[in-house]
Amino acid sequence: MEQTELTQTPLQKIWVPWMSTLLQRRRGSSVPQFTNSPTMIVMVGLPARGKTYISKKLTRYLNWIGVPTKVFNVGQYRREAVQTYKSYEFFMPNNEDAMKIRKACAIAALQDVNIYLTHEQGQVAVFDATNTTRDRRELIINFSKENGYKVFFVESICDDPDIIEANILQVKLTSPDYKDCDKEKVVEDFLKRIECYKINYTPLHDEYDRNLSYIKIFNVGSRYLVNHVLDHIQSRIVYYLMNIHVTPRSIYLCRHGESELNLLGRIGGDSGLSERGKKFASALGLFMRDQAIQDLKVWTSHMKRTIQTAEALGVPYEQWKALNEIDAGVCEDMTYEEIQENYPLEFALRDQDKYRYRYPKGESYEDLVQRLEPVIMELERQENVLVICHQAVMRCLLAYFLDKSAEELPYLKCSLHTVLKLTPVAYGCKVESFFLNIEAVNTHRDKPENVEVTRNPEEALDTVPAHI
Amino acid sequence: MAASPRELTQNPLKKIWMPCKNGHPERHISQRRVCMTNCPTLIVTVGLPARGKTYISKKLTRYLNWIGVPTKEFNVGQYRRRCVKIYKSFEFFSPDNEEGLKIRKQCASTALNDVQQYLSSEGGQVAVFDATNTTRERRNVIIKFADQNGYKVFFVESICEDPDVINANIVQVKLGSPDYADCNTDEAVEDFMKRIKCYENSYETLDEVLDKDLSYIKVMDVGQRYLVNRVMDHIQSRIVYYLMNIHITPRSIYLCRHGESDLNIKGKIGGDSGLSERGKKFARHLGDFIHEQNIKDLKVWTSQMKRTIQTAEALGVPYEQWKALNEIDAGVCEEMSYEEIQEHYPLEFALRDQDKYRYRYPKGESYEDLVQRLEPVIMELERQENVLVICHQAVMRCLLAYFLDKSAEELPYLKCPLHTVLKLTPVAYGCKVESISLKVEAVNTHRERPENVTVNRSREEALQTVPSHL
Repeated sequence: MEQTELTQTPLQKIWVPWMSTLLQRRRGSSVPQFTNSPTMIVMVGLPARGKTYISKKLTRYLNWIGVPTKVFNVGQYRREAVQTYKSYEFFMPNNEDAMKIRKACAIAALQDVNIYLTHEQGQVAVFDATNTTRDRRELIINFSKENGYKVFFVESICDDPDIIEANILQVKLTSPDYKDCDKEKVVEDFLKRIECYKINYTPLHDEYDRNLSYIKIFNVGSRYLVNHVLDHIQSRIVYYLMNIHVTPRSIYLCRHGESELNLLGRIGGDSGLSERGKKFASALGLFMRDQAIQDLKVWTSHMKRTIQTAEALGVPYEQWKALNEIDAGVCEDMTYEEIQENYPLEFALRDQDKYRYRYPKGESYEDLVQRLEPVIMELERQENVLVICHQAVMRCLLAYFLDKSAEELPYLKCSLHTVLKLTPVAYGCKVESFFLNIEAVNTHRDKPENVEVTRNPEEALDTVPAHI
Repeated sequence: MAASPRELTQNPLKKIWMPCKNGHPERHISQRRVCMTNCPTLIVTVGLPARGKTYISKKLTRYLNWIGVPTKEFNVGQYRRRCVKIYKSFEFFSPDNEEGLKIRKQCASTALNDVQQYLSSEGGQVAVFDATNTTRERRNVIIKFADQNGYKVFFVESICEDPDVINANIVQVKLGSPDYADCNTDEAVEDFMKRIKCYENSYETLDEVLDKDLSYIKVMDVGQRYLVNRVMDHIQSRIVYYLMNIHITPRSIYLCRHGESDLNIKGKIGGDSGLSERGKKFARHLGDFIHEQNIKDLKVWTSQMKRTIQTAEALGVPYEQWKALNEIDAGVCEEMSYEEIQEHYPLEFALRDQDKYRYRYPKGESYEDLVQRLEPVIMELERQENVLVICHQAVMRCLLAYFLDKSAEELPYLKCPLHTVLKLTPVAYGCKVESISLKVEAVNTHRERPENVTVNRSREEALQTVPSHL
């Protein structure tokens, strides 16, 4: 067998056989294969059991780790079909007209799933509906078989009336269905809506459904039943679902204080804090104390500047190597001017695709996300945490919490001496930004206009922030 | 009160920044590794005989030790064998045998004492208490013991009614047990089945209602189904994830390094060079070898470095590139020969020999870092069946140490020569290793620990064990 020459793709620094740059499909894949066919995740459960919360969160997580995922919420299809919601009576099992509409909506949603998975390179579709009857689930299973999708059910079971009421207050009050209603009316109508579904609810059954792949979540995670996990992606989904919780808490993200290298406009390295950086560290200590947080955990990277910052807080902290700044390889400790001078091609490629671009002998944002996944998993398990990290790292973490795309991620603004407080609320995350009033250099370089390799140095350095 | 931040100094071995006073490291409050749990954990197996409890115990212990959580298993059956030198028959386990019950209870107590010794006085973090623990009464004794000592308890129950699986278990691990040293197969199987019967009547499985406040996982039908209740912390979450990913389907894992590279020939470490002529020859031989082995659905994994990919290309089959399989990053020493490292960084070179596992290259990695990096690879290897991993010397040492249960001290010195394939096949409680040399000459890249590892040693002493090269 003749041996093909290898060439390294200029952007991602992946070694590929010469010929693949032409027409042939390349034999090697540059990321491990999570699954060999698209997957449909099918939610099951009465209303107000957290199905949409789980759907959205799971979708956000999968997209962040690089698995193209989309939610298909049947309730939204119904709202498009039936413009005005009158009352719970729409959901009564003997309301034949409504039943017809609801079935049509489910089918329309499935058709869109088909388009997404088969024609739009989607890998996972989350089918968010009650799916409480065997008939409906049978319909979905047949649909998946026809199209070659794997199916994984996620059933949420909860009989704690306090949790259900809290759900209704958190997310149903603001639903388009209840736009002009007062609180009591909403709760009353919604509880009646739930009763409509209870009549025909058949949960996934140990015997009858023993060949299906599923996870049953009981009472917001105190118990799980996992059946027949088929592949890597299902295993990761189970692990994720078993680590998330709904206990109220806040996550604080900030960078280390301004460093010596920051002042010089140099990237990477392992320098200590500047005078202003040290001032920020003290200010951070005061700020966190004023926040009066219960059982706060503090995490840093292994780099001097984050540890120096944490030291000023006077509380225990944990060092994570995974939180280290992106490795700029041959460009470590350089200014952008020096990178332009020594590696103009690399500099241009980075501007063309900042997310996937890998520094020679270094990392890409894409690599960073892989590296940070265990940090995100542990953040999900934890409650109140302060993460003192670095610019690129903070961008990745923020993109996870705020559901930012790979295109937006590398340009998220994470300024020095600013703390972001993230608090989960309803289906998303509230962000509060606190600038601790200590001046620092700007380290944010926007994408310049000209990203061509033929550009001149002025065009390349157009957006470099000022430094010594 | 916000004092001004303490000065930091970087520990020379691990390159960890810590606070110091007058240039000396101070006792400091930061933890250098991620906190798995804030108190020791007692894992307690539950289940009838031949349900895989010892298999799970040993495997879990191996995994936890590999990821850096000091773990030890305590098999009550072994305590019983020490106490009752000769095993006569299943009647020892009869519920009416008062003498037998006394001895067995005593053994459990002794084992728990040793658990306490390990967790409270020997720095252990997890103890795996491997016994049937099939009655609520026994489990309550253990829970009380754990409460008194401040340990968390996590139960792992294995439930299986498939007679084929149970038979296979008995044949795999019971026939070879010291209990049946002088019996023939049929006698052993018959006796063991009666032994199981002795436990069946008093077996109280973990109950949804009665045990709702306990933390546990029920593994049913060798992993078809799992019931997980009240996971309390990070380590329990990791244990659950691990247990849910392992399987017992027969398969083999093939480990080898890339073919000999141009930098290998020059005695230089790291880098991203291509294969030498001999390396290319190895790649072709590896392709032939794989075809001859005729392995069902073989997956092939490489790193993202040129030399492993070049090797895989010669196989003519699809392969997956894992960045996590990249060779250890030697930081400032990348692409140097050992002679050059000695010349430019004699202190670093000596520190590395003092503690090769924990030593981190300046701006690089340590073996300890490598293990963290490789954990997802191990997890996926557990999920998979037949896999060929084409990787690098340090990486292969880490993977091998996981499969063969080697300590952190042994790991960096495991022999992983070029052009040699290791075939690992799980058998009984461990792993069978077959070493296959593909008969293509290559340089030796294995550097033994020299005699003198002090920082004031001479150049000759430092370079004593460097293998020859161009």
